[in-house]
Amino acid sequence: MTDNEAVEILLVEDNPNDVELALHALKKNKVSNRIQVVRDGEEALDFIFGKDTSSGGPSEQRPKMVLLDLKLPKVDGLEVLRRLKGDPATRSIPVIILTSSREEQDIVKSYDLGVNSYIVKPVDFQQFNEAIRQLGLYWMVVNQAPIH
Amino acid sequence: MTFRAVSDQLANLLVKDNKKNWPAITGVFLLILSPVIFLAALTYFRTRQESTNFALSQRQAIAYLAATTLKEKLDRLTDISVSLASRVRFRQLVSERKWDEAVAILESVPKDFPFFDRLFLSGPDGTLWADTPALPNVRGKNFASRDWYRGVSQNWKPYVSEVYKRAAEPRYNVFAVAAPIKAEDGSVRGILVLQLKVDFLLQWTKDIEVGPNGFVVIVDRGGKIAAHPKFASQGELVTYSKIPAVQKSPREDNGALRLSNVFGRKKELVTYQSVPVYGWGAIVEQPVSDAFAARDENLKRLLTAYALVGLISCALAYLILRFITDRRQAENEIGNLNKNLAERSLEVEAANKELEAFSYSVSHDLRAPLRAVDGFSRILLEEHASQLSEEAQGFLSRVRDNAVNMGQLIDDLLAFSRLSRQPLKKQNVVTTDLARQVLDELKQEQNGRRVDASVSDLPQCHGDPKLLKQVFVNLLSNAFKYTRKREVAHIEVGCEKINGETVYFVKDNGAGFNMKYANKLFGVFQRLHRSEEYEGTGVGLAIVQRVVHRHGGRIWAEAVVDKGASFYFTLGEGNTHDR
Repeated sequence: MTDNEAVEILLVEDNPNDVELALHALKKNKVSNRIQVVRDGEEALDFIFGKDTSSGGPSEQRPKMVLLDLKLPKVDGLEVLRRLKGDPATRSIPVIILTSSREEQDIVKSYDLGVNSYIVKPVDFQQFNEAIRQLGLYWMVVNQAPIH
Repeated sequence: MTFRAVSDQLANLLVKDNKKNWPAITGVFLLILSPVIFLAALTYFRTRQESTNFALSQRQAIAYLAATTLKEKLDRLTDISVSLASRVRFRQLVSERKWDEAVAILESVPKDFPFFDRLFLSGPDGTLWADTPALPNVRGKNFASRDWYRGVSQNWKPYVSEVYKRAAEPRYNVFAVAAPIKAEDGSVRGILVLQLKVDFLLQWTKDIEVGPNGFVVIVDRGGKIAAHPKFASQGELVTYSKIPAVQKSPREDNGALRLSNVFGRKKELVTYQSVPVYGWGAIVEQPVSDAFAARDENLKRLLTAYALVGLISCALAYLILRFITDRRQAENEIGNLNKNLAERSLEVEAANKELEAFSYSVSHDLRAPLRAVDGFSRILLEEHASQLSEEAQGFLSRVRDNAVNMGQLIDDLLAFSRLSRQPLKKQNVVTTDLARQVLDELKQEQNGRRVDASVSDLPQCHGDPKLLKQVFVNLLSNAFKYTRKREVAHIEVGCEKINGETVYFVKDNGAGFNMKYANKLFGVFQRLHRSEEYEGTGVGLAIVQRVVHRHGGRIWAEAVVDKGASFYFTLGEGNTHDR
């Protein structure tokens, strides 16, 4: 990843297995190669809002899409979502919750905070693969993002 | 203050630490009774006073009557003596000291009036000169010491004497009326003395109605008894002068006293009335018990009535206090129960929260490794198949299947646990539509199978539609699953009335099960079929049972191996609306 290649997808995921599987699925389905992985909520916020980032990337990154796990160390996914959707500058970035939780309260809260999609990670990798493929197709290709 | 507030205040006082405060209760009890007791005592003593006064005034009236009558009689006697003494011829004879001739004129008087004892004439010095009926040895005797002489000689006016004993035998008691015999010039020439038996007094006093055991006594001015029904008139002279009534009678006009009978131990009620001019007295005596018999009878009735009123008041006061204290105790009891309940529900809430957190972790963390297992096996199979033997590929498939299977188990378990925690959202449910909708959805998944399924009209019910739908989904899914090997699957949803209770059922002609294991049917993860034959985690029926129980209903099943199974359930009393 180079500086002039802007990050298209921000993957916020603490589980290394899930990171690898997600990256595998994203790459295999040719959604994007410009993916930034952060491992907790704090890193995600730092990346987007341009604090001192551990990723070393430029401040104030505007990814085309955020894949966000809910259960995260330090700052949880719902809080990240709240901050993203609460800020006019980042409100239009599509955020897709990618989580193991089927709990209704999580789903309701996420939609209340303005999430764009809520996907439950299935145990079956094939289903996961398919979900990622469709997701990338919709948000990265079909969906027309507002011009900044 | 409202009654409620007063009752609350009272309850606070009467119940301390949820125990009856007996001193306070006794105090309030007496306080409630005190006006009743006070009024009763007041009216009792008033009534008693009035009745007493009535009895006294009644007897005073009798005494007054007796005194008035006595005065009239003494007046008449005095008049008689004066009229006798002023006869012209008689006076003349006395002036001439012709005593025998003078007395002869009056000879008929004692005979005409039976109460006259004797009649005699004396000189102005008190010496007796003539008498009729004549007695021996009295002529020439001087009686100046007699009361009659002292009385008449004082102002030379007619005089009624005290009672005295007759000088001659038989010495019965008499009194005298003495009148001066005066000459034309007014000088006193002699004294006419009428001696009367006291019987005469006794006679008419006996006729005066005093009441039971009552009688009238006449005393003279010296306090000696002139008439008394219990003393013989010829007996000893009895002086009453030591008795207060007698002492008072000359000084006071009238009065009433209660005193012990001199002769008996009985208390007597005594009223007296003095006789004007003569200084005699009329005394009415009656034992207190008799005099106040009517009063006491009335008072007794009054007391009985008061006793009744008192009893009723006591009972009322007791009931009021009992009501207040019992209610307060019950309230406290309820308060405690509510407190316990609140504590318990807090505990339950905490436990529920814990459980939620737990299942959240399970949901999230337990599936993550499975995803990794499945995901990496899949990648191996898809992208590195060339490097793997067929057997290795088979093993990897088994790894994947198991991971997926475990994911299903976890999901089902979570669904089951969620079900127990969710509050019931009851509303009217058109059960028939619900069952038909589920059946239609499931039918579409049965590619190419021949299914003969029907839903008859079911009564509507009151329940949580989401959960009830789950019941039909699970039961009908099972029906479809276990009829898989039938050429034509028969599935029937219906209801029947058993002992007045509406029972819904889902019947199929599937694999059935051995009734020996019917008790295991509704346990979590309990399966009666091998998973190679019929897939599943063993949670579906557990969920069904949980939903039915939460609605207050029952569920049971009947089956025959290889013939089919029937599941019956109710939804609890009042939850089913009969058409």
